[in-house]
Amino acid sequence: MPETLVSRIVRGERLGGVALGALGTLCLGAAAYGWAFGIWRASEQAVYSMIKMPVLLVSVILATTLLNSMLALLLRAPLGFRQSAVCILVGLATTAAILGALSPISVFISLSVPPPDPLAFGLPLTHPRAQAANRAAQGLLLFHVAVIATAGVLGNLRLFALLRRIGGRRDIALRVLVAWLGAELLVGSQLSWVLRPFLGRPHRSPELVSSEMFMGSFFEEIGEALSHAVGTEGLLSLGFAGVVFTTMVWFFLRSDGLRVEVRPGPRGLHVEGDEARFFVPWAKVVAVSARPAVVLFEDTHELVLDVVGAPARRLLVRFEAPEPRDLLALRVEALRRRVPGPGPFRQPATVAATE
Amino acid sequence: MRLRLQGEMMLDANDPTVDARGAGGALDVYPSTAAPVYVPRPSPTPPLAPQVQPQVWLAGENAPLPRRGMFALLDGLLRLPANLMFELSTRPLTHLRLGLLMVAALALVGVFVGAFGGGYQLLAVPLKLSLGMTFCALLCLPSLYIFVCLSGGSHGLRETAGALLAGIALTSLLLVGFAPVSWVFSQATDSSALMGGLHLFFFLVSAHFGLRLTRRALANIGGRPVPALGLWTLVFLMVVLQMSTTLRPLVGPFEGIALADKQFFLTHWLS
Repeated sequence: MPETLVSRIVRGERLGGVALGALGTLCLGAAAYGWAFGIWRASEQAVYSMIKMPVLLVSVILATTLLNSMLALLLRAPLGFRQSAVCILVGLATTAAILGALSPISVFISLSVPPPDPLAFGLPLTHPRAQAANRAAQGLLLFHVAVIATAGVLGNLRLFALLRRIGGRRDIALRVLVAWLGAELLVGSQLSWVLRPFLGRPHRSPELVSSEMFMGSFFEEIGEALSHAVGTEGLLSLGFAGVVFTTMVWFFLRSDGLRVEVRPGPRGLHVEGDEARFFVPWAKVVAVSARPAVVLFEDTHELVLDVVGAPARRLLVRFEAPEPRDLLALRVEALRRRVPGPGPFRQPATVAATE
Repeated sequence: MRLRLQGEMMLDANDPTVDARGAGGALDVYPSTAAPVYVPRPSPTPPLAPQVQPQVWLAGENAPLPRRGMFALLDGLLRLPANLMFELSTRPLTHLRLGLLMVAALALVGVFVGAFGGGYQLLAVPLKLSLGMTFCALLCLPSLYIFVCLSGGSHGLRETAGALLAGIALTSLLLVGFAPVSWVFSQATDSSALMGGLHLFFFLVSAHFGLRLTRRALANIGGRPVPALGLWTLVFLMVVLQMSTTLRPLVGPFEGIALADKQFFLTHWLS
């Protein structure tokens, strides 16, 4: 991530230029992939999809920027409204740039698979010829979805790196990214439903938008498809199983302590967590230990402080490398041993820890 | 000059009955007319450790908001809640301004919600949302105050009301952020169930942040968290959901100005 870009966004200087550049990249990349998307059906469909892909991405940005900027502030990211908008633009522009770069490959694949059967045109979908042609279209659609998903993942990794550089804290960057992605996925899924078709159907003529664009929604369609597949009871069972699974995952993966930041002082630890900040005298620090922690496919190093008389029994301080963790552990241990008295196991009031 | 013994007693050194002779830190006290009585040095009484109370964290400072006007209130709600709470406690008009912001935000949300049904719903739903939420806040304020007092807090009613108002104002503000998202769906579907579920989801997410602000603001005022607030949160959510059922329809076509038949909100959703 270029340092000049990060510093411009942090300082909020000349963001208009950044936004325009990102918007231009987004439009070009999305248009290129739109062409690749629609070329299998016909050149006409390629032109329509070339117009609709940038419109889709820009519409997602317009619909979610206000909400995402508020969520970023509430999740304690140091981003104002303009900075949030630019970060979202940069993230989607990266995705579009990757899509544009992959568009020649997609064109090649689209032109390599069997073309739409011209005899299927005008036939109802229930006709065997139309069904066979539709199966080829569905296979190609899955390929395009995989490419778009890959580009999306890479673009969001870039956005995550940008948010980390701006905010400085990994957990805040992750929360903001998840919140933004949730809003964009919700709106994007519905807008892509409204603006369909992108690939086109072999039994129907190329069209800019469907005649049924304002009928139904993405989630209704998913729900109906699932309902046909598994029935209403099956749907409820799947929902219940999903809730149980999510609860179990949360239960087993939840942290066994309170994640905090600490500042050692002469008389104890100044602790700052998400909910509160407090002071823990050295006599109340029972044990200090270090351990690795695996957080979302990334190794992190934790300093574990077992304390008494604090809002949590275990405090966790996370580091990206083991060396600063070990340094802090040594410092904490050295300061702890200087405290006179029997320690926290007997009379915790022996040491007058006044601050 | 006042002298302090290593214990609890305070003596006045100017008192002629007191003759302080230090010996290893202990004071020998005796009456002036009697023979000196040597008081053995008391064993050191360990001072009580100070109560380590967490200070609940509100972003910002205990100072006025840096700007004036309505945008300053938005800034306060999103970025500087500590400054906002300071304004609520020192400037009486801040309650009124925050209330107006809440009503205006809910009216705007109501326009987007009513766009699904169209027609008179564009007038009725903004009115229902803003008045309904105000009424829910007034209904739940006494219980919040009682819960806070029973938890040992020393908050005044005005401070409690300010914290509740800030939380609901933030909820309303977030609902405004969700309004374009709900509009995208409302233009493409006829399903009241889907739109109702979507609005419910958006409300719950917004209420999470809003009530979190209320919880932190109350803890910041009292210097410690308020334990019973989780229970009160459930009560407040239930009141709001029931109010939405009482004032139905919010999603769907206009059905006159009279209130609908009485129904519990869960029964209405499952029907």
